[in-house]
Amino acid sequence: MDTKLSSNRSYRIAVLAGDGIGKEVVPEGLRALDAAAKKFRFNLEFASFDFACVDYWLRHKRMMPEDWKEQLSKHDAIFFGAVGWPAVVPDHVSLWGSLIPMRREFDQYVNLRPVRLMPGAPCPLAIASRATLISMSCAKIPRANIPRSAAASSPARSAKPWCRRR
Amino acid sequence: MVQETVMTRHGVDRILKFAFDLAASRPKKHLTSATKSNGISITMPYWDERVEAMAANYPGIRWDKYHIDILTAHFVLHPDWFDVVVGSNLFGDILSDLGPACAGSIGIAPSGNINPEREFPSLFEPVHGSAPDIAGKGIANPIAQIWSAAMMLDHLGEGEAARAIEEAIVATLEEPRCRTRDLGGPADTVAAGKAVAERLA
Repeated sequence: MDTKLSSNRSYRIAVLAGDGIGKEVVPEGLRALDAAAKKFRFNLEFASFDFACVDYWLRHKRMMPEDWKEQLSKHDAIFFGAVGWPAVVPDHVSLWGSLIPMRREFDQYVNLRPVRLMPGAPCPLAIASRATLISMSCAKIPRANIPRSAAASSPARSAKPWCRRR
Repeated sequence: MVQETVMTRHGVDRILKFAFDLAASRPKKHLTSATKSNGISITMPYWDERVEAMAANYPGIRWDKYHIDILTAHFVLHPDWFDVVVGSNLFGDILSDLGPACAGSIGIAPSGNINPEREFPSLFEPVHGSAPDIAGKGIANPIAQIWSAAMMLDHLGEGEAARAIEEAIVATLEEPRCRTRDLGGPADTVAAGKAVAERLA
């Protein structure tokens, strides 16, 4: 039987919408995912999490629960919106309390950023093309610069991969 | 004041391997390394050395390297020269903002934070942030988030579905009425999102 015709392919997706427009664009991402799953006959199991956002911080004075890693590890991928609400939580607190520990603890050492010229996007360049960008880091972040939340649980390693934030 | 850069063979080789594998999976089979070994005279020559060593494992890949300064100029003047570009943190940082800027809007730029060994879940997110200035108005461009969804499906092995989403995005943006404000169109977040989903149905 053609596997494309069966619907036994199933993926568990952790959804973290985060703050600001993250909460507005994530539902549209899910809408596209639902449509794609239906068309290509696979199952997506979405689990929404209420952490990695300012609302969680206001309630708990931290960005994520202590067992965040255990909770998220059960999923095949994480679908993330955006984190940050500087009027309430400084960006270095919200970022270093959520995305940065995720990137480190989950060893996400590749930051992949495709670029594609779209016909409807106003391009300042004359030549149409397609390129893919990869950003990575093999820079060791000095221990002293790692907030306790990130340092305490970091596995010892000769180089600390750190995927960048724009 | 002193700040040091540590480049280990482990750290450098694994990103290079990912980049060469990615290049090998694409029609152009071309990889560009961002470097600055004429100025940063210890770590970057080491980077170059590892690129050359890794390239030996990929005889089918055409590869080149540019110093980061002229590379940024070529991004603007000759974007068609590039397919997969790999760089260390700071260079990737610069290039990955320049790339989407050259393509027109940060509202369409996706990203993946990937653990290639699949020991842990990878994370997919738009390049843009939470944008407090337009939050709550329902006008944000959902394309970067939707494209991130396509990247996620590709990572999960659903390449066909991923390509379908990408093509639905292209088809949607071709229609001026489906574009959001940042692209000069009248659509709001939900209308643009629905337009993509409808093309997938």
